[in-house]
Amino acid sequence: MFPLPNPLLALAEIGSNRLLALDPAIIQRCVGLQGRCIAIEFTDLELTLYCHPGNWGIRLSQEAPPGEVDATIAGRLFALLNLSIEDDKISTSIRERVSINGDARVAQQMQKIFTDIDIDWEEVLAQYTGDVLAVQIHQQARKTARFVQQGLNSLMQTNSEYLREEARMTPHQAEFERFQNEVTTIKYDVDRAEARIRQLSRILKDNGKI
Amino acid sequence: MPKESTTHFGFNQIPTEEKQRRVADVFDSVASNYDLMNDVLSFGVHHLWKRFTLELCGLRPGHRVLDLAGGTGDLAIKQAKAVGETGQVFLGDINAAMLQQGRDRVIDKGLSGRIKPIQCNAEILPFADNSLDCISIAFGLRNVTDKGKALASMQRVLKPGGRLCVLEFSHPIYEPLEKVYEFYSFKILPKLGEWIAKDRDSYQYLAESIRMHPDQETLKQMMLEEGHFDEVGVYNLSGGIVALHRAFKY
Repeated sequence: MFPLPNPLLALAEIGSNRLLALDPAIIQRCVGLQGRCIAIEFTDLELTLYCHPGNWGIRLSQEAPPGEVDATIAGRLFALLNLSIEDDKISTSIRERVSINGDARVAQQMQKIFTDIDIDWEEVLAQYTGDVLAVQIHQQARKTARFVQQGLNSLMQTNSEYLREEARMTPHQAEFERFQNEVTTIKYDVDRAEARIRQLSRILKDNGKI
Repeated sequence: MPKESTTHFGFNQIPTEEKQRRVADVFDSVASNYDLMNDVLSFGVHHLWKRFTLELCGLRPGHRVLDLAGGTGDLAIKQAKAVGETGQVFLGDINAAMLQQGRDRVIDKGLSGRIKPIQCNAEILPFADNSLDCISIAFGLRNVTDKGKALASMQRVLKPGGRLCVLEFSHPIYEPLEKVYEFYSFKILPKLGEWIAKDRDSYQYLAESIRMHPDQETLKQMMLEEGHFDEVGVYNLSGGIVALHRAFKY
């Protein structure tokens, strides 16, 4: 197992709890999961973290708890990060790379704690700058963000269309997923053929033919 | 004739019942300069160690917290802000002179409603079973005479799910750092105590008591076995010069 230095783990916990504390409704959901333990397995890092939600937010540990784990969410780092920031929008390919064992309801509630987080940045800012300035800064930031987002979306769409339709360098999303499904089907076919050959050679060996 | 029970006071062995009085003498002597000396001796880094401890206390509005060996109250004041008006912080210390400093500071900060000073012995805490969400003890455990008894007492008063955060000097995990630290502790630290606080002996005791304090793993085992905690995490700070032990009661 890949050991994560404890201070790094503590910083991850502190960061998560600071974020969760900004949305009181989310903390209440953590309270609802108090006493539960959710294991998060990063398969590519060979790292397992145990997440204990409660009225403090969440607590992270690398040591397995004395009791049973309620649910295990396993997957590659990228897939798990996507799972924690997106909900229904995650593509099928990412969803397939994440597995959930144990109490699926607990795992889903844990996931939704992160996906449903809704921070009132204006309120947070107001604590430092006062209401009047916070409203102005927030409005300006929203305008800028919208402008940047529109620009990026437009740029990405133009580039994507150019690469797909004009230069024909990349496939369409649906085309890519069909190809991926075909690769998966071939993989399973090869696995089955391998198992069949192994079985036949065992039968021949048992009959003394080879 | 029964053998007299002894314990360490710095590098000296003394009768167990005498340790409490000798430690009290040290803190009576350093109380007035305590915060200044902490800033000077740690180069101000003790504020970061305490901030880290506060974050891992996981405090929320409404929590009931005990800051043991809280002395001048710098951690308790931060905790009071985290637990809000609905919460309660108890500033506990066995030493009246230190507690007086803490109480004055709490009043100056306008937090006397949220922070209640209590003169108490960590070995026999005057709280009901399962009544606190969190206990912290920063740079105090090494001065407690019977650490196992104190840890068990803390476990008793914590609610199930509650946590104990012990911030204490420990043993550096890198060899070159250990040599530098040892030189600083035994050669420079007592001299600084002599020059600034006019009290060499108390700071000589500080260096010796740090050396005699259990290392990270020993303290962890002590918390599990004698304190009956269910889980303990260790966080080395500044290369292990200080370690935070966070224990949970299930």
